[in-house]
Amino acid sequence: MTQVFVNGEAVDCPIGATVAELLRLQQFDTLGIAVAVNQQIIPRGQWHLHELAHQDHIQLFKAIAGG
Amino acid sequence: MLTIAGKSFSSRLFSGTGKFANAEQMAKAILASGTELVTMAMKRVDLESKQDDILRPLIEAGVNLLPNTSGAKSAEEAVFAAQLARDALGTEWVKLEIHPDPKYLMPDPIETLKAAEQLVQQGFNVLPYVHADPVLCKRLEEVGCAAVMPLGSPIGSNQGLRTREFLQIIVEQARVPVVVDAGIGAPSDASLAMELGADAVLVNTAIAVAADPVAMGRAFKMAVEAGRMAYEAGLGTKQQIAVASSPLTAFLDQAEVCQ
Repeated sequence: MTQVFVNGEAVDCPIGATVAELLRLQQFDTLGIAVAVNQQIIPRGQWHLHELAHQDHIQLFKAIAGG
Repeated sequence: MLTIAGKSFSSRLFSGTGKFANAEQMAKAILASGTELVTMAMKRVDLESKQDDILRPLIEAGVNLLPNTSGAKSAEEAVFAAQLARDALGTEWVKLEIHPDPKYLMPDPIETLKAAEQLVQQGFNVLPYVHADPVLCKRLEEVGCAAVMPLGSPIGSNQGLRTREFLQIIVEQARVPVVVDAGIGAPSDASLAMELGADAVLVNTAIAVAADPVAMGRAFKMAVEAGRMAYEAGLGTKQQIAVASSPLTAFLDQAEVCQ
């Protein structure tokens, strides 16, 4: 296992896990979600390819109500 | 019919999705308003709290999504927010808003122009929220914005069209659609904006915080339609003195003759 940070919170994840795997493991609803790893947006189409590294900072954003 | 960035809308009322009591009420009010374009915001996911899912009901309602860059305080942050929204919602449309001042939420014109230029180059359909500044609106049009969204009064203030004279100049000069945004507090404000020749209005607070948001959504729908119809029909010019609508004097003259 390795450790990454999801929106500032430490999370354990398997070594070599991709963004898609992390989202699945954390049971995130991915509708309306955007992901950045170390401030870099990872497009939805790349989630299953982008492997996470130890201490990566993952930011999850979600579309919410607004004017 | 209103067309923005190649997309046609039969409703000239755009709506925000914020401040509703819950997602169900929001969806009902949006359906009642007839709006075909609704705004959303992007936010960092709060892992602790379970947030109301508003995206599904909006997708079910079949409306188009207009993500905003609310929360951005600079051009750089706004561009990042727009890119996040594009990936999250699969749309190139963005309501560009940059307001660093939390009290009046006045849009920053310099950062907005800077961000607009970059976003247009990146293929976004940019609808910038700006002060009712005719010069800025022209500049935004020149850099390729799909529409301009000048404010009526501060966001959520329900003060109506405090910028009326400047909105009129913007409408007169614009070659892109003008969407009056912010401060529209009552259907009559929306009607007025449409009578002035605005192409559309964006309303959020006035519908969302009404005692009956569904009825208010319908009221805004009717007001926007009435205002647009009046604009197209051609309003009469204003006069400083009375101009009689009935031939009263002729009738009186005749009565005098009879005596």
